[in-house]
Amino acid sequence: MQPAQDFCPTVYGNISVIIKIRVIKVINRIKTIIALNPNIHYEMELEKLIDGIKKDSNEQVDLLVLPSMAVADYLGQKILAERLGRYSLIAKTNNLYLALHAYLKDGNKRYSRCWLIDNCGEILLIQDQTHDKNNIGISISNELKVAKTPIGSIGLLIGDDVFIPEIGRILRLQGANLFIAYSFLPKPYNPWRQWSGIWQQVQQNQVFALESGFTGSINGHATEGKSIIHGPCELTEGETGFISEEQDAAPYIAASLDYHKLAEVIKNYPIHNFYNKHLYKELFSELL
Amino acid sequence: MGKIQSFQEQMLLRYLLFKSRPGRIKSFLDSKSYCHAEPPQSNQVRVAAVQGKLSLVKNPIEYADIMYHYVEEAVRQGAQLVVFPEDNAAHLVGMLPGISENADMSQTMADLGSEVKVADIFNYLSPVTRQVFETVFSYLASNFKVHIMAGSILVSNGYNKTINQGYLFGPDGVIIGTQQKLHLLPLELEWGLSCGEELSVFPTPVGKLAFPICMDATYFETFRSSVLKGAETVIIPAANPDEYNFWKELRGIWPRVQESTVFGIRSSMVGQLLGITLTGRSGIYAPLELTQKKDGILAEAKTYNEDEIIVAELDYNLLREYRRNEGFMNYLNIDLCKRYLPHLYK
Repeated sequence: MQPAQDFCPTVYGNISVIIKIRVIKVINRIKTIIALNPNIHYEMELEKLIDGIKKDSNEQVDLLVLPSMAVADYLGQKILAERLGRYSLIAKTNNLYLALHAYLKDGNKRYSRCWLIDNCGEILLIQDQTHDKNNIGISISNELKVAKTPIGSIGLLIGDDVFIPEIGRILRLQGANLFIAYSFLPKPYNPWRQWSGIWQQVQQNQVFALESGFTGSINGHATEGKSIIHGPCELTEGETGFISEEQDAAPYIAASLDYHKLAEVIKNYPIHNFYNKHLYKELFSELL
Repeated sequence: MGKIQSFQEQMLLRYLLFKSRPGRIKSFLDSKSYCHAEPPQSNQVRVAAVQGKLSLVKNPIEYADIMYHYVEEAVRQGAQLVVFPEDNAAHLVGMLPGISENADMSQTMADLGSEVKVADIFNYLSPVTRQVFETVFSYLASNFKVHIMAGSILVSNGYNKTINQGYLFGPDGVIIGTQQKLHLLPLELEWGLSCGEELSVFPTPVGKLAFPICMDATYFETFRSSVLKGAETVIIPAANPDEYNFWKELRGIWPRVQESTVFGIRSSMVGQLLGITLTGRSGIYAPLELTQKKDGILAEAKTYNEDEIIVAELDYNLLREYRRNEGFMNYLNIDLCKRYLPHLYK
């Protein structure tokens, strides 16, 4: 079997060059600061945290996933524009990619939206949530895009989308090898529920994923989740599928993601070579 | 099968067919005692999943005896549907001369020559396998008056291709339906197996059943198709050729049950045979909210490598009620799905 080319962009003919994505950081504990809520305080804490990460790791950080800017109310356009401006500056100044999420309002419409900002401070990808299972009243999107970047082909999953297998599949089929997910799991925390989301999307699509699990309150609904960095079981210690998992008192979790190793996993067990296209044609053309 | 169909091989096949004649098997099974499964009368059905340890048999009577004991124990525990694992007639390979449990599959294949594949052996044995398997399970189903999803067997499809096919028997002993495996393992491709393209759902008194096979549970599309065709229970006969790992096993039926709001039953073949280690825990699964510990597990085997039978009750009224509120079709963004699928599969 040939490895999926899109997972191994560094293979040229018979010469294999490994480019390891250096360090990927997911901030999780900053969400307690969000609960305190003065916006400016949040920004200051973020800068301090980024400085701390740099000191801790002594390595270049390539991607930072910020916790959701979920607040008691939906963000208005003015505040949002101001924040995006600041985050763009942070991304550019620190030479890293930045992912963020917010609930926002625009006129009568409300959205649950993710942004991916590149290391030049440009917004590379905007993704709205595509399902509203719990009827929270957001406008949903019928579009899923993948950003092809030097640090991976990135797709974004938000809220209920983490439980919809079609979302992971569509992103994977469009070339994504790195999912960034914002999950909002109901309190009390049930690990089984969390495993039925992004963890399994990662396993059936053979990708990496950074899951920011929100703990707090969204529109009156209490949520409790963990932040986790996922990979195919074969790539992880104990074959758990967890590369790094939120621990008490840690301000962030971090991991190095190695696409070369991911390509090896796919080569050994090429799930995507065994699609039953006839069956799926019936499913998506006639049954749905 | 031209590759190994010499005169001697034809004679051997005739001998094996004679040894496996239905009258002989029925006569043996007639000597056994039978209790009857309770006919399903409400929307609650008691199901059993067999976790079977694979061993080779030299004689079809041994095979019938093994299967009899599984069904007898399951029915004794109240099962109205008994589910068996994948490759549930691999035992019969032991009828071939020169095959023993300690033999190494790769060495055996090397001895046969590079042009012979594993599929060729199962294709060759197909008339015997089918005769024994169908006789045994038809007889057990009708004598115990129980529905049996008898697992799957490797047989010829009649067009010189070897397929992995599951069977469902009704309590009258008649085959209700069959299902071909839809997604192969890389190992099975190497063996020369072929897969099917159609998925069927069978309405029965013990539920609307689909029974795709093992690897099919890796693909969410299998369960989506099953449910959209009406399935309320998806059965997965399995034979996982890998060392046991909780997390790797969790990648199969369990998440599929959660995402497609359906009951699931996995029956695992276990043991070591021909140099291959088979592991896995049989289990009966439901959406998280329909299970006591909110873990999606109604019953699960305690071991991953021993004989076990597990039973649980499936409450279809609860499932239907749950689906009315939480079923995926309530919220799936169909416009989005159709925008990208199926054309993205290339």
